Amino acid sequence: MRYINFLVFAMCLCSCTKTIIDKKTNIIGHAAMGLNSSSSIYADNSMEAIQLALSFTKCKGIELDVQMDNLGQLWLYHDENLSTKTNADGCINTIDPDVLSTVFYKTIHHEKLVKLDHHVLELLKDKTVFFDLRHFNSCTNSIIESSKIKNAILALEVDSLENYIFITSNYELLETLSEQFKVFYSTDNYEQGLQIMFDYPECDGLVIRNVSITADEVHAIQALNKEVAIFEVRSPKGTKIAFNKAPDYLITDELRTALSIAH
Amino acid sequence: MIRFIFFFFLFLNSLTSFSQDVVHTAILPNSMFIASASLQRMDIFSGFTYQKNFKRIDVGTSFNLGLRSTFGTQQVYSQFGSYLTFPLIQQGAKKRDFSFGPMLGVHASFLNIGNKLRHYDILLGYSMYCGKTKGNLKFFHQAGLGPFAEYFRTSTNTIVQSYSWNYHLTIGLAYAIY
Repeated sequence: MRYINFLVFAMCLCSCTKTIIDKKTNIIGHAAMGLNSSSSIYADNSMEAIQLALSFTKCKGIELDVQMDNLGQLWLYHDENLSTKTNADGCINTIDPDVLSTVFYKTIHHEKLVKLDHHVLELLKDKTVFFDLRHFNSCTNSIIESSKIKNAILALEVDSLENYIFITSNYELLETLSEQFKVFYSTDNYEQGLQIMFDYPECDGLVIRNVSITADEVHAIQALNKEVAIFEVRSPKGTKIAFNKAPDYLITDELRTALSIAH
Repeated sequence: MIRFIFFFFLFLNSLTSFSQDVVHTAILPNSMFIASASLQRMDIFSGFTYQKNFKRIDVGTSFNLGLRSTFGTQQVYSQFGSYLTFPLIQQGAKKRDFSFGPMLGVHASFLNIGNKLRHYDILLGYSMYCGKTKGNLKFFHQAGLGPFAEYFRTSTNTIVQSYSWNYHLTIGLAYAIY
Protein backbone atom coordinates (compact mmCIF):
# COMPACT_ATOMS: atom_id res chain seq x y z
CA MET A 1 0.00 0.00 0.00
CA ARG A 2 2.88 2.30 0.87
CA TYR A 3 4.42 1.72 -2.55
CA ILE A 4 1.12 2.42 -4.28
CA ASN A 5 0.83 5.73 -2.42
CA PHE A 6 4.37 6.61 -3.42
CA LEU A 7 3.64 5.68 -7.04
CA VAL A 8 0.49 7.84 -7.11
CA PHE A 9 2.43 10.73 -5.56
CA ALA A 10 5.23 10.35 -8.13
CA MET A 11 2.68 10.23 -10.97
CA CYS A 12 1.06 13.42 -9.67
CA LEU A 13 4.44 15.11 -9.67
CA CYS A 14 5.23 13.95 -13.20
CA SER A 15 1.83 15.03 -14.48
CA CYS A 16 2.70 18.69 -13.89
CA THR A 17 3.16 19.92 -17.46
CA LYS A 18 5.55 22.64 -18.44
CA THR A 19 4.12 25.71 -20.17
CA ILE A 20 4.68 25.54 -23.91
CA ILE A 21 6.39 28.76 -24.87
CA ASP A 22 5.97 30.18 -28.33
CA LYS A 23 9.59 30.75 -29.35
CA LYS A 24 8.69 33.79 -31.39
CA THR A 25 7.60 35.73 -28.30
CA ASN A 26 10.35 38.20 -27.46
CA ILE A 27 10.91 38.97 -23.76
CA ILE A 28 11.20 42.68 -23.06
CA GLY A 29 12.01 44.24 -19.69
CA HIS A 30 9.46 46.87 -18.64
CA ALA A 31 11.36 50.06 -17.74
CA ALA A 32 14.47 47.84 -18.09
CA MET A 33 14.28 45.50 -15.05
CA GLY A 34 10.60 46.00 -14.19
CA LEU A 35 8.40 48.71 -12.77
CA ASN A 36 7.78 48.76 -9.00
CA SER A 37 9.35 45.34 -8.72
CA SER A 38 11.09 44.37 -5.47
CA SER A 39 13.49 42.10 -7.35
CA SER A 40 14.57 44.74 -9.89
CA ILE A 41 17.55 45.89 -7.71
CA TYR A 42 17.93 49.19 -9.61
CA ALA A 43 15.50 52.08 -10.22
CA ASP A 44 13.35 51.78 -13.33
CA ASN A 45 14.72 53.48 -16.49
CA SER A 46 18.15 53.91 -14.87
CA MET A 47 21.41 53.16 -16.68
CA GLU A 48 22.24 50.46 -14.13
CA ALA A 49 18.89 48.74 -14.73
CA ILE A 50 19.34 48.96 -18.52
CA GLN A 51 22.81 47.40 -18.36
CA LEU A 52 21.61 44.63 -16.04
CA ALA A 53 18.55 43.80 -18.18
CA LEU A 54 20.60 43.66 -21.38
CA SER A 55 23.08 41.30 -19.71
CA PHE A 56 20.52 38.49 -19.58
CA THR A 57 21.09 36.26 -22.58
CA LYS A 58 17.46 35.67 -23.53
CA CYS A 59 16.24 39.21 -22.90
CA LYS A 60 15.53 40.53 -26.41
CA GLY A 61 15.22 44.13 -25.35
CA ILE A 62 13.75 46.70 -23.03
CA GLU A 63 10.96 49.23 -22.80
CA LEU A 64 11.88 52.77 -21.70
CA ASP A 65 9.73 55.77 -20.81
CA VAL A 66 10.72 58.94 -22.64
CA GLN A 67 9.93 62.55 -21.68
CA MET A 68 11.12 65.79 -23.29
CA ASP A 69 12.63 68.68 -21.33
CA ASN A 70 12.03 72.40 -21.98
CA LEU A 71 14.87 72.55 -24.53
CA GLY A 72 13.75 69.53 -26.52
CA GLN A 73 16.12 66.91 -25.14
CA LEU A 74 14.87 63.46 -24.18
CA TRP A 75 15.08 61.89 -20.73
CA LEU A 76 14.13 58.47 -19.37
CA TYR A 77 11.56 58.71 -16.59
CA HIS A 78 8.24 56.99 -15.94
CA ASP A 79 6.14 59.11 -13.56
CA GLU A 80 4.47 62.42 -14.36
CA ASN A 81 6.21 64.30 -11.56
CA LEU A 82 9.86 64.00 -10.56
CA SER A 83 9.00 64.27 -6.85
CA THR A 84 7.56 60.73 -6.69
CA LYS A 85 10.87 58.99 -7.34
CA THR A 86 13.69 61.52 -7.40
CA ASN A 87 15.22 64.33 -5.33
CA ALA A 88 13.67 66.96 -7.66
CA ASP A 89 10.19 68.39 -8.04
CA GLY A 90 8.13 69.29 -11.14
CA CYS A 91 7.58 67.91 -14.64
CA ILE A 92 10.50 67.15 -16.94
CA ASN A 93 8.87 69.15 -19.74
CA THR A 94 9.19 72.38 -17.74
CA ILE A 95 12.74 71.85 -16.42
CA ASP A 96 16.08 72.85 -17.87
CA PRO A 97 18.46 70.00 -18.91
CA ASP A 98 21.24 71.41 -16.69
CA VAL A 99 18.98 70.90 -13.68
CA LEU A 100 17.87 67.45 -14.85
CA SER A 101 21.47 66.30 -15.17
CA THR A 102 21.83 66.68 -11.38
CA VAL A 103 18.67 64.71 -10.56
CA PHE A 104 18.97 61.28 -8.97
CA TYR A 105 16.53 58.61 -7.74
CA LYS A 106 15.55 58.31 -4.07
CA THR A 107 16.85 54.74 -3.95
CA ILE A 108 19.76 53.09 -2.17
CA HIS A 109 21.98 53.38 -5.23
CA HIS A 110 20.96 56.99 -6.04
CA GLU A 111 20.91 56.26 -9.79
CA LYS A 112 21.12 59.35 -11.99
CA LEU A 113 18.30 60.39 -14.29
CA VAL A 114 19.29 59.19 -17.77
CA LYS A 115 19.41 61.48 -20.79
CA LEU A 116 18.60 59.65 -24.02
CA ASP A 117 21.60 60.37 -26.22
CA HIS A 118 23.92 58.50 -28.57
CA HIS A 119 25.83 56.97 -25.62
CA VAL A 120 22.66 55.26 -24.43
CA LEU A 121 21.66 54.31 -27.98
CA GLU A 122 25.08 52.76 -28.53
CA LEU A 123 24.36 50.50 -25.54
CA LEU A 124 20.96 49.62 -26.98
CA LYS A 125 22.04 48.72 -30.52
CA ASP A 126 21.22 45.17 -31.64
CA LYS A 127 18.42 45.04 -29.06
CA THR A 128 14.71 45.70 -29.52
CA VAL A 129 13.84 48.89 -27.68
CA PHE A 130 10.36 50.24 -27.03
CA PHE A 131 10.28 53.97 -26.34
CA ASP A 132 7.06 54.90 -24.54
CA LEU A 133 6.62 58.56 -25.50
CA ARG A 134 4.97 60.76 -22.85
CA HIS A 135 3.12 63.51 -24.71
CA PHE A 136 1.27 65.07 -21.74
CA ASN A 137 2.62 67.65 -19.28
CA SER A 138 0.60 67.24 -16.08
CA CYS A 139 2.14 70.38 -14.50
CA THR A 140 0.69 72.65 -17.18
CA ASN A 141 -2.14 70.33 -18.26
CA SER A 142 -0.99 70.63 -21.84
CA ILE A 143 -0.21 68.26 -24.69
CA ILE A 144 3.30 68.51 -26.10
CA GLU A 145 3.43 69.23 -29.84
CA SER A 146 4.03 66.09 -31.89
CA SER A 147 6.46 67.88 -34.23
CA LYS A 148 8.68 68.81 -31.26
CA ILE A 149 8.85 65.18 -30.11
CA LYS A 150 9.63 64.06 -33.67
CA ASN A 151 12.41 66.67 -33.98
CA ALA A 152 13.86 65.53 -30.64
CA ILE A 153 13.98 61.94 -31.91
CA LEU A 154 15.54 63.03 -35.22
CA ALA A 155 18.15 65.04 -33.31
CA LEU A 156 19.43 61.76 -31.85
CA GLU A 157 20.90 61.04 -35.32
CA VAL A 158 20.43 57.31 -35.08
CA ASP A 159 22.05 55.25 -37.85
CA SER A 160 19.34 52.65 -37.96
CA LEU A 161 15.85 52.80 -36.48
CA GLU A 162 14.97 49.21 -37.31
CA ASN A 163 15.20 47.97 -33.72
CA TYR A 164 13.39 50.93 -32.18
CA ILE A 165 9.65 50.94 -31.63
CA PHE A 166 7.84 54.06 -30.44
CA ILE A 167 4.73 53.71 -28.29
CA THR A 168 2.02 56.35 -28.11
CA SER A 169 -1.65 56.70 -27.24
CA ASN A 170 -1.96 60.03 -29.06
CA TYR A 171 -3.45 59.97 -32.58
CA GLU A 172 -1.56 63.05 -33.76
CA LEU A 173 1.77 61.70 -32.54
CA LEU A 174 0.94 58.35 -34.14
CA GLU A 175 0.34 60.04 -37.50
CA THR A 176 3.44 62.25 -37.21
CA LEU A 177 5.85 59.49 -36.25
CA SER A 178 4.54 56.62 -38.36
CA GLU A 179 5.80 58.33 -41.53
CA GLN A 180 9.39 57.55 -40.53
CA PHE A 181 9.38 55.29 -37.52
CA LYS A 182 7.94 52.00 -36.32
CA VAL A 183 5.03 52.99 -34.06
CA PHE A 184 2.75 50.94 -31.79
CA TYR A 185 -0.53 52.26 -30.41
CA SER A 186 -1.09 51.84 -26.69
CA THR A 187 -4.58 51.22 -25.31
CA ASP A 188 -6.48 49.42 -22.55
CA ASN A 189 -9.37 48.62 -24.90
CA TYR A 190 -9.06 45.87 -27.51
CA GLU A 191 -11.93 47.14 -29.72
CA GLN A 192 -10.39 50.61 -29.83
CA GLY A 193 -7.00 49.09 -30.65
CA LEU A 194 -8.48 47.00 -33.45
CA GLN A 195 -10.20 50.08 -34.88
CA ILE A 196 -6.90 51.98 -34.82
CA MET A 197 -5.28 49.18 -36.81
CA PHE A 198 -7.91 49.75 -39.55
CA ASP A 199 -7.95 53.57 -39.33
CA TYR A 200 -4.16 53.95 -39.27
CA PRO A 201 -2.73 51.25 -41.56
CA GLU A 202 0.74 52.74 -41.06
CA CYS A 203 0.57 51.81 -37.35
CA ASP A 204 2.77 48.75 -36.83
CA GLY A 205 1.18 47.19 -33.80
CA LEU A 206 -0.65 47.30 -30.51
CA VAL A 207 0.57 47.57 -26.91
CA ILE A 208 -2.06 46.31 -24.47
CA ARG A 209 -2.41 45.01 -20.91
CA ASN A 210 -2.43 41.24 -20.39
CA VAL A 211 -5.91 41.32 -18.85
CA SER A 212 -7.34 43.37 -21.74
CA ILE A 213 -6.73 40.88 -24.55
CA THR A 214 -7.41 37.19 -25.21
CA ALA A 215 -5.40 34.71 -27.26
CA ASP A 216 -7.94 34.88 -30.12
CA GLU A 217 -7.76 38.68 -30.14
CA VAL A 218 -3.95 38.53 -30.30
CA HIS A 219 -4.24 36.26 -33.34
CA ALA A 220 -6.82 38.59 -34.92
CA ILE A 221 -4.40 41.54 -34.70
CA GLN A 222 -1.53 39.39 -36.01
CA ALA A 223 -3.74 38.31 -38.93
CA LEU A 224 -3.75 41.97 -40.00
CA ASN A 225 0.06 41.79 -40.28
CA LYS A 226 0.41 43.84 -37.11
CA GLU A 227 2.42 42.95 -34.03
CA VAL A 228 1.16 42.67 -30.45
CA ALA A 229 3.04 43.58 -27.28
CA ILE A 230 1.48 42.52 -23.97
CA PHE A 231 2.42 44.33 -20.76
CA GLU A 232 1.60 44.34 -17.05
CA VAL A 233 2.89 40.84 -16.58
CA ARG A 234 4.32 40.07 -13.17
CA SER A 235 3.37 36.78 -11.45
CA PRO A 236 4.46 33.35 -12.74
CA LYS A 237 0.80 32.49 -13.46
CA GLY A 238 0.15 35.77 -15.30
CA THR A 239 3.37 35.34 -17.27
CA LYS A 240 2.36 31.83 -18.37
CA ILE A 241 -1.07 33.07 -19.42
CA ALA A 242 0.56 35.86 -21.42
CA PHE A 243 3.02 33.44 -23.08
CA ASN A 244 0.15 31.15 -24.06
CA LYS A 245 -1.46 34.03 -25.98
CA ALA A 246 1.65 33.97 -28.22
CA PRO A 247 2.18 37.72 -28.56
CA ASP A 248 5.15 39.07 -30.51
CA TYR A 249 6.50 40.82 -27.42
CA LEU A 250 6.04 40.25 -23.70
CA ILE A 251 6.86 43.39 -21.71
CA THR A 252 7.41 42.00 -18.23
CA ASP A 253 7.83 43.57 -14.80
CA GLU A 254 9.55 40.44 -13.50
CA LEU A 255 12.27 39.77 -16.02
CA ARG A 256 13.80 36.86 -14.11
CA THR A 257 10.39 35.15 -13.85
CA ALA A 258 9.70 35.48 -17.60
CA LEU A 259 13.21 34.27 -18.50
CA SER A 260 12.80 31.40 -16.05
CA ILE A 261 9.58 30.25 -17.72
CA ALA A 262 11.07 30.66 -21.21
CA HIS A 263 14.13 28.66 -20.16
CA MET B 1 10.03 55.48 13.37
CA ILE B 2 10.27 56.55 17.01
CA ARG B 3 6.75 55.18 17.52
CA PHE B 4 7.85 51.86 16.03
CA ILE B 5 10.91 51.66 18.31
CA PHE B 6 8.76 52.50 21.33
CA PHE B 7 6.27 49.73 20.55
CA PHE B 8 9.08 47.29 19.77
CA PHE B 9 10.64 47.78 23.20
CA LEU B 10 7.22 47.72 24.80
CA PHE B 11 6.70 44.33 23.13
CA LEU B 12 10.10 43.12 24.36
CA ASN B 13 9.34 44.36 27.85
CA SER B 14 6.04 42.51 27.89
CA LEU B 15 7.89 39.32 27.02
CA THR B 16 10.55 39.70 29.68
CA SER B 17 8.52 41.10 32.57
CA PHE B 18 6.51 38.46 34.34
CA SER B 19 5.91 40.21 37.65
CA GLN B 20 2.89 38.17 38.65
CA ASP B 21 3.81 34.93 36.92
CA VAL B 22 5.71 32.01 38.27
CA VAL B 23 9.11 32.53 36.73
CA HIS B 24 11.39 29.60 36.17
CA THR B 25 14.62 29.06 34.30
CA ALA B 26 13.80 28.01 30.77
CA ILE B 27 14.50 24.44 29.80
CA LEU B 28 15.95 24.84 26.35
CA PRO B 29 16.08 22.16 23.68
CA ASN B 30 19.35 20.61 22.69
CA SER B 31 18.49 20.80 19.01
CA MET B 32 15.53 21.59 16.75
CA PHE B 33 14.27 20.61 13.31
CA ILE B 34 12.39 23.54 11.80
CA ALA B 35 10.00 23.67 8.86
CA SER B 36 9.74 27.28 7.77
CA ALA B 37 8.62 29.78 5.16
CA SER B 38 10.65 32.90 4.50
CA LEU B 39 9.64 36.05 2.66
CA GLN B 40 12.64 37.49 0.86
CA ARG B 41 13.28 40.07 -1.81
CA MET B 42 13.67 37.58 -4.66
CA ASP B 43 11.14 34.92 -3.72
CA ILE B 44 9.22 33.18 -0.96
CA PHE B 45 11.43 30.38 0.27
CA SER B 46 10.34 27.29 2.13
CA GLY B 47 12.39 24.47 3.55
CA PHE B 48 14.03 22.89 6.55
CA THR B 49 16.49 24.07 9.17
CA TYR B 50 18.48 22.17 11.76
CA GLN B 51 19.45 24.20 14.84
CA LYS B 52 21.86 23.01 17.51
CA ASN B 53 22.41 24.64 20.88
CA PHE B 54 25.99 25.12 22.13
CA LYS B 55 25.72 26.69 25.62
CA ARG B 56 25.61 30.42 24.74
CA ILE B 57 25.10 30.09 21.05
CA ASP B 58 22.63 28.47 18.64
CA VAL B 59 23.94 27.33 15.26
CA GLY B 60 21.58 26.61 12.38
CA THR B 61 21.90 25.31 8.82
CA SER B 62 19.07 25.51 6.34
CA PHE B 63 18.01 24.35 2.91
CA ASN B 64 15.17 26.15 1.14
CA LEU B 65 13.47 26.27 -2.23
CA GLY B 66 12.12 29.45 -3.83
CA LEU B 67 8.43 28.63 -4.24
CA ARG B 68 7.60 31.11 -7.03
CA SER B 69 10.54 30.03 -9.17
CA THR B 70 10.59 26.32 -8.38
CA PHE B 71 6.86 25.68 -8.60
CA GLY B 72 5.65 28.75 -10.53
CA THR B 73 8.23 28.71 -13.31
CA GLN B 74 9.60 25.16 -12.96
CA GLN B 75 13.18 26.29 -12.42
CA VAL B 76 14.76 25.08 -9.19
CA TYR B 77 15.78 28.04 -7.03
CA SER B 78 17.73 26.52 -4.15
CA GLN B 79 19.07 28.32 -1.12
CA PHE B 80 21.62 27.15 1.42
CA GLY B 81 22.13 29.08 4.61
CA SER B 82 23.76 29.10 7.98
CA TYR B 83 23.29 31.31 11.01
CA LEU B 84 24.45 31.98 14.54
CA THR B 85 22.07 33.15 17.25
CA PHE B 86 23.19 34.57 20.58
CA PRO B 87 20.21 34.04 22.92
CA LEU B 88 20.16 37.04 25.26
CA ILE B 89 16.75 36.34 26.75
CA GLN B 90 15.97 32.80 27.82
CA GLN B 91 13.09 32.79 30.19
CA GLY B 92 10.29 30.60 31.32
CA ALA B 93 6.94 31.41 32.88
CA LYS B 94 3.55 29.69 33.20
CA LYS B 95 5.03 26.48 31.82
CA ARG B 96 6.17 28.26 28.69
CA ASP B 97 9.72 28.91 27.54
CA PHE B 98 10.96 31.73 25.42
CA SER B 99 14.28 32.45 23.71
CA PHE B 100 15.28 35.62 21.91
CA GLY B 101 18.58 37.00 20.60
CA PRO B 102 20.46 38.66 17.77
CA MET B 103 21.23 36.57 14.72
CA LEU B 104 23.95 36.65 12.06
CA GLY B 105 23.39 34.61 8.93
CA VAL B 106 24.75 33.95 5.44
CA HIS B 107 22.84 32.53 2.47
CA ALA B 108 23.70 31.42 -1.04
CA SER B 109 21.01 30.87 -3.69
CA PHE B 110 21.20 29.45 -7.19
CA LEU B 111 18.85 29.84 -10.17
CA ASN B 112 19.29 29.00 -13.85
CA ILE B 113 17.31 31.20 -16.25
CA GLY B 114 19.60 30.83 -19.24
CA ASN B 115 22.18 32.68 -17.20
CA LYS B 116 23.18 30.88 -14.03
CA LEU B 117 22.38 33.34 -11.26
CA ARG B 118 24.15 33.20 -7.90
CA HIS B 119 22.76 35.24 -5.03
CA TYR B 120 24.60 35.80 -1.75
CA ASP B 121 23.49 37.70 1.31
CA ILE B 122 24.66 38.42 4.83
CA LEU B 123 21.93 38.94 7.35
CA LEU B 124 21.80 40.73 10.67
CA GLY B 125 18.61 40.43 12.68
CA TYR B 126 16.99 38.52 15.49
CA SER B 127 15.83 35.00 16.11
CA MET B 128 13.29 33.73 18.61
CA TYR B 129 11.28 30.69 19.50
CA CYS B 130 8.70 29.95 22.13
CA GLY B 131 6.54 27.06 23.26
CA LYS B 132 5.56 24.83 26.13
CA THR B 133 8.27 23.93 28.64
CA LYS B 134 9.72 20.61 27.52
CA GLY B 135 7.18 20.62 24.71
CA ASN B 136 8.27 19.26 21.37
CA LEU B 137 6.57 21.84 19.18
CA LYS B 138 7.76 25.46 19.21
CA PHE B 139 6.88 28.54 17.25
CA PHE B 140 9.98 29.81 15.45
CA HIS B 141 10.59 33.28 14.01
CA GLN B 142 13.53 35.09 12.45
CA ALA B 143 13.89 38.47 10.76
CA GLY B 144 16.88 40.22 9.33
CA LEU B 145 18.30 42.71 6.89
CA GLY B 146 21.61 42.81 5.08
CA PRO B 147 23.65 43.30 1.91
CA PHE B 148 22.79 41.23 -1.14
CA ALA B 149 24.84 40.39 -4.23
CA GLU B 150 23.86 38.89 -7.58
CA TYR B 151 26.42 37.35 -9.93
CA PHE B 152 26.05 35.76 -13.34
CA ARG B 153 28.03 35.20 -16.52
CA THR B 154 26.78 36.67 -19.80
CA SER B 155 26.90 35.06 -23.25
CA THR B 156 30.14 37.00 -23.89
CA ASN B 157 31.63 35.38 -20.77
CA THR B 158 31.78 38.57 -18.74
CA ILE B 159 30.64 38.42 -15.12
CA VAL B 160 27.84 40.78 -14.12
CA GLN B 161 27.70 41.82 -10.47
CA SER B 162 24.99 43.87 -8.82
CA TYR B 163 24.62 44.77 -5.19
CA SER B 164 21.63 45.74 -3.13
CA TRP B 165 19.85 44.91 0.13
CA ASN B 166 17.85 41.87 1.08
CA TYR B 167 15.44 41.09 3.88
CA HIS B 168 14.29 37.82 5.43
CA LEU B 169 11.07 37.41 7.35
CA THR B 170 10.80 33.81 8.50
CA ILE B 171 8.17 31.93 10.46
CA GLY B 172 8.20 28.25 11.15
CA LEU B 173 7.29 25.31 13.31
CA ALA B 174 10.11 23.66 15.22
CA TYR B 175 10.36 20.12 16.57
CA ALA B 176 12.50 20.32 19.70
CA ILE B 177 14.75 17.55 21.01
CA TYR B 178 15.88 17.75 24.69
